[in-house]
Amino acid sequence: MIRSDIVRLYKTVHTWTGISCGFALFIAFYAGALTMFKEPIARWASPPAVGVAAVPLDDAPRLLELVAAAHPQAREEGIKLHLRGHENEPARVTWEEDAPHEEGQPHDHVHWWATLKPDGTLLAQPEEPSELADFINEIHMSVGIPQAAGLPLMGLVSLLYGVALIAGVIVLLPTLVKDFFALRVGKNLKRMWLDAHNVVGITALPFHLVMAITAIALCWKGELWSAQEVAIFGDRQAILMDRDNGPFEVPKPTGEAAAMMAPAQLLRKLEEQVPDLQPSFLVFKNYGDTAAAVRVPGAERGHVGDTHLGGVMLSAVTGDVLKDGALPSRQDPDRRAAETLYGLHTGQYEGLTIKWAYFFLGLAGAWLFYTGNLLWIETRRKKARDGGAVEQSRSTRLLGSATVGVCLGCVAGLSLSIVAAKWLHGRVADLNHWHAVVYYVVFLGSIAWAFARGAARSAVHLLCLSAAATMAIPLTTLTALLFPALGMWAHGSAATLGVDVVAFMGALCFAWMAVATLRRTRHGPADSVWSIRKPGQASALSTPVPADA
Amino acid sequence: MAGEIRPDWWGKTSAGAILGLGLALSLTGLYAYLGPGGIDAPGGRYSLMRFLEAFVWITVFGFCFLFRSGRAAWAWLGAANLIAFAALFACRFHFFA
Amino acid sequence: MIVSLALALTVLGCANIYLASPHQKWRARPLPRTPLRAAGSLLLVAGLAAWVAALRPMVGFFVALHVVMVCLFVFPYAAAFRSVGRGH
Repeated sequence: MIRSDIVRLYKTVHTWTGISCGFALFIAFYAGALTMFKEPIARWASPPAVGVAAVPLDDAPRLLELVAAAHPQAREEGIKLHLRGHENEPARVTWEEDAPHEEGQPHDHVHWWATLKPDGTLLAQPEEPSELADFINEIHMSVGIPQAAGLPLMGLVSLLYGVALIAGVIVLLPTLVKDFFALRVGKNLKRMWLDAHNVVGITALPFHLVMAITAIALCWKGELWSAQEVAIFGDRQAILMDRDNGPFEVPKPTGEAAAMMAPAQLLRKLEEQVPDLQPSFLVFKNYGDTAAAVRVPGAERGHVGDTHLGGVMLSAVTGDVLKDGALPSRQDPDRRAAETLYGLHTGQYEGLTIKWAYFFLGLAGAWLFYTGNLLWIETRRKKARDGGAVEQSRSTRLLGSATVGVCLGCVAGLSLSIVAAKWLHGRVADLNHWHAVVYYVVFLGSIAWAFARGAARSAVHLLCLSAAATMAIPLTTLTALLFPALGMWAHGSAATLGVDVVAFMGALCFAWMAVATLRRTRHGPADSVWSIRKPGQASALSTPVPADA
Repeated sequence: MAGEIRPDWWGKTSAGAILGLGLALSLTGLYAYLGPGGIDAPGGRYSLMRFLEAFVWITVFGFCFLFRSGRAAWAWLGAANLIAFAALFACRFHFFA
Repeated sequence: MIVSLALALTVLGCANIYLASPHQKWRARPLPRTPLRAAGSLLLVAGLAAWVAALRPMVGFFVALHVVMVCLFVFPYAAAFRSVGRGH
């Protein structure tokens, strides 16, 4: 049996590590749960476009030829040929070019798309795609702090999160078997929040351990690389890395022209040679050259890993595999293990089942940190005795306000940022910048509101705001459908409708929580930061009803 | 570990954070030299090592509060660091003499 | 097809494990525990086998693991929400 002084000690460790990183972890997990559907969200947010279907795959060679001739930089950097026909693929081919560069400014890119006009001539246009999904991912990675500071901070948060997990399990050990699955709803609020906290923590423990470990490795990628260089490799790491990057290097162009294999035939050759690779898109480098190559990223059946960089490289002339070192089944065991861990962080394997599982695990993670904070407050609640009035301590009041403001501000901010994709499209110059503006205004405003009005009142307000903001996602699509003059759009694909349906369900959940919280502020125990009744009123009212939110 | 455990928050936390990282780097470094294929093994070992370091660091940091005192944590983990780093540097000299 | 079967087996297996717990709140009168546990374990093993058959060992194992984790916290919460709904 584990000693009680060890449990006491680790309870303190768990409390302080948990409370110091709970806010950042809530944001990371909530935004992270949304990134599981970054593809559908990107499709939802993309305005109607020419689309992939405008140029059948059999006509693609002509389009590629015209683009390569008219845009030498695209030919060199790579022309992306889309295959799936999703709404976020504006046309059959897209590419990036360097933006005019000013001294001292960061390098920027201009995104282009191209299609064939009915008369067979080229139509190429620069147009910035929606970066909404990337913005949500950025919030997930660095909680909205600029990445230079945000990533190292999240590395520290992840380290403390790992310590909190170990400490939490040690604290739970004595009652682990006895209380497994227990979720006792009732008058004892501390018991209830403790059960609610433990049950999501312990059942999802493997998920959380993997997240803590991988998040440290990902956030402190550069720092750990440097530390390895100094302590372990002694300046030899760069050589190893160069060797390891071989699979991504493109053959040098020869300058001689050659006939290119048609994309449809390339895909058939790929299917013959690497049947397990499911290509996401094709990238043509040096189109028209004898050394032209096609990069084919994609997931390989049966492997957990990165689907963005992996895959194979084919010769664009013969369709033969040039390089397959980045293919999961050809990787060395170390690279394979590292990519498996990376894949376990991002949930990039299988398909829909794992995305939904990660979505719920992510939301449950956010809920874990939210209940952790509630538990801290509930544990420190000063109970009124014999109807006497008590004042709750300053720290519990402040933590209550901060919990409500940060968590619900993040929820409402992300929802409104998504909504802005349709309402602000074509009405502002730089929509991608406005996604951030909307998020920060709502997020910081919510925090200010929570401190101004106190936890109890602001929780109801901000839950209503979250419900309304999330409901605005399907309502926007409905508005677009009913009033086409507004210039918005409503895609009909299952993935984009899924975004609307999930947002609708989410909004109902937030609305239900708002009602339950309102009930608690009125009828819950008055000697709590969650009550709007004055402490003295407690005895004047009828017997308090237990809170149940 | 009999007897009363002292909290010694600063001593143990600093030991877990600093010596935990040291142990993570040195043990992972030993894997890099002595693991299959050795230090010149082709492929993504340097990439996997980041995950191994994170794992060792969290484990040492998480369990270091079990030491009887901050001084004990520094002594034991310091000794472990010394041994592991000595072995690591021996490997470095042996393989890159 | 086999994915749906694997999902069903895994969810049912977790449901059996939950019902075998002394803290289960789905049934007023608990069912005998040992047969439930045995059935739950068998279903989970069959589910894992189906996942592996559908998605190969590596992916199959991790998908099964994550589905199990979701089920194990969703079931107690579902029961708690039901009891709250009845209480008011």
